[in-house]
Amino acid sequence: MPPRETVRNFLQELLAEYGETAGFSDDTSLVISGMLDSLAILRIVVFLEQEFGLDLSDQGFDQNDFDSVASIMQMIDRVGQAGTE
Amino acid sequence: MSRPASFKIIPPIDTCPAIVDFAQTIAGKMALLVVFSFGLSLSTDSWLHTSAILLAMTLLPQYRGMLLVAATFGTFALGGWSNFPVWPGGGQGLPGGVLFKPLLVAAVLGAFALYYHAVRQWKDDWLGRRPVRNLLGGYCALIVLAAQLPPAGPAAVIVWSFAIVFGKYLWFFNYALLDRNAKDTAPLALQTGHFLPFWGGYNTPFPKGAAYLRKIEAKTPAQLAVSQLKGIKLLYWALLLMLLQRVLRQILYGQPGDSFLGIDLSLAIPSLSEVLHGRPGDPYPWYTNWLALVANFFYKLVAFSVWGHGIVAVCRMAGYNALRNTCNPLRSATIAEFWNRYYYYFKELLVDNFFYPAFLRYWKKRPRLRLFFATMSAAGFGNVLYHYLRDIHEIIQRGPWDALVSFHVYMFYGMVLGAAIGLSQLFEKKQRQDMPWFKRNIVNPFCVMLFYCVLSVFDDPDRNLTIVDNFAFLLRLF
Repeated sequence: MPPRETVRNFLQELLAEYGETAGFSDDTSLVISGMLDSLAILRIVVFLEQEFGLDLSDQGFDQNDFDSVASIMQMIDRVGQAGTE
Repeated sequence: MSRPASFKIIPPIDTCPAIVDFAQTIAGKMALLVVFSFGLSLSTDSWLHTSAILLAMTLLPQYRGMLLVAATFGTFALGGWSNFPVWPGGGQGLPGGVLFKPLLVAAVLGAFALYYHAVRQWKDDWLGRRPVRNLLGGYCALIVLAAQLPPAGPAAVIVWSFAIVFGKYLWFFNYALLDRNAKDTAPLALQTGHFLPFWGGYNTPFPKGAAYLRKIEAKTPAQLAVSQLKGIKLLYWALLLMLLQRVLRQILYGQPGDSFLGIDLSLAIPSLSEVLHGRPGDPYPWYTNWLALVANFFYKLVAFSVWGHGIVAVCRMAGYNALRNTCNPLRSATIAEFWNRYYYYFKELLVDNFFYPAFLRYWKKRPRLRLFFATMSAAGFGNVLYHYLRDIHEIIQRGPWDALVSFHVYMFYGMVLGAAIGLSQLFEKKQRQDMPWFKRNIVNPFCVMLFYCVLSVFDDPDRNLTIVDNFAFLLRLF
């Protein structure tokens, strides 16, 4: 499954746990809007570590990176590139 | 069958299309400003200049960033730079006279600008990899250095003054450092507008840092209208709470002869400080101790909500649609949820500066320990460090070590709070909607309030008490 779909499916399940069943686009704000909280971000972090092998410890942490499917995909690209340099 | 609309004391004007459309017209903008300014005049003496700033930011949203810089520094200057009580005793005879405070602010901002650019320049070196930790470490070292100088000498006055002002900016600087690598981050000069911004929230950045502000900033006339309508709603909600606070003060703490709005009923409950100190030879009965504790908890909750709502309301009116600082804390079903709902921006400060760095670095193979350790780093260590550095006048008077010793009750408080939130997160149910209604809405909130109420025994700012006094009071509750 393409990475974007994998991320999207995970977020959909996470949102359902928070009682958010409405659809969302790649640019929909999930964290800043209040749909997801800090604990949800942690679960996204753990998911990205396990699913994509990302190590975020050397990156400046910014909650905005986890705010939407689009921002998460940008971060995956950025961290992935940094890891291969 | 359609659901009846839920009743709101403040009508949801921000969701009414006709009002949102009207708020985008010149007449609508003026109407909103008048309504907001009137509310502001009921709550603060500085309403006039705040309204003038909001007028400029409403009419010239394309210059919002620059106007924010002018507003923030203009507010400092209008207040005689009074937000920087630089030296205990009024700062009589400070070097530089009236220019001392502005020069000090310029020196602090200049020093940070050098550090910020060094961090960005050498991002792969030790300096650039952990800039927040290095800044906090450097600031602590500055305090230790200042304590070695001959007290009240000119060098001590200058270094301590620098440390006091730097401390006011400290957490704003940290947010700027966290945002240093973002592609769309603003130049540092422009970021100074939201370092100690004109809407208030000193020490704890409201609402967080540059990254968050970029995200919540109104980018279209419709977004600005919604943000301002939400600001008006929040301000008037704060005014209602202010009224409630005043009534509570009369009923809980009023003295014989006091009256408010015709209410002369008063329970004359002693303050928490009074019952903590006790009356030698004539101790308060256990039920008075409980009354004082519970009254203090609820009174502080209302007062704190009023304070935070006022700040966020002005921020929203300026075009930044920030989340509320306090949001229905009495509905919290867990200890962690209460902390999030009670003082959101302080919790966010600790999460961003302590929790995430710890979570991302340590105990990755042990998920539960990882979560607990990161929570302790934030709610325990970060919380204690924040308050220790915030009370810098205690450090100046007592010295760093004695100030730390006199802070031991709050350190205990921070550790218990951190452990409780950590455990709360570990055992939190994922599917809260599956929880029975009575447990979710009655039993759990009551237990959460009871926990925070009892824990507040150790959250007293009086440093003349020792932990033995606090535990003695705890025993007197039973």
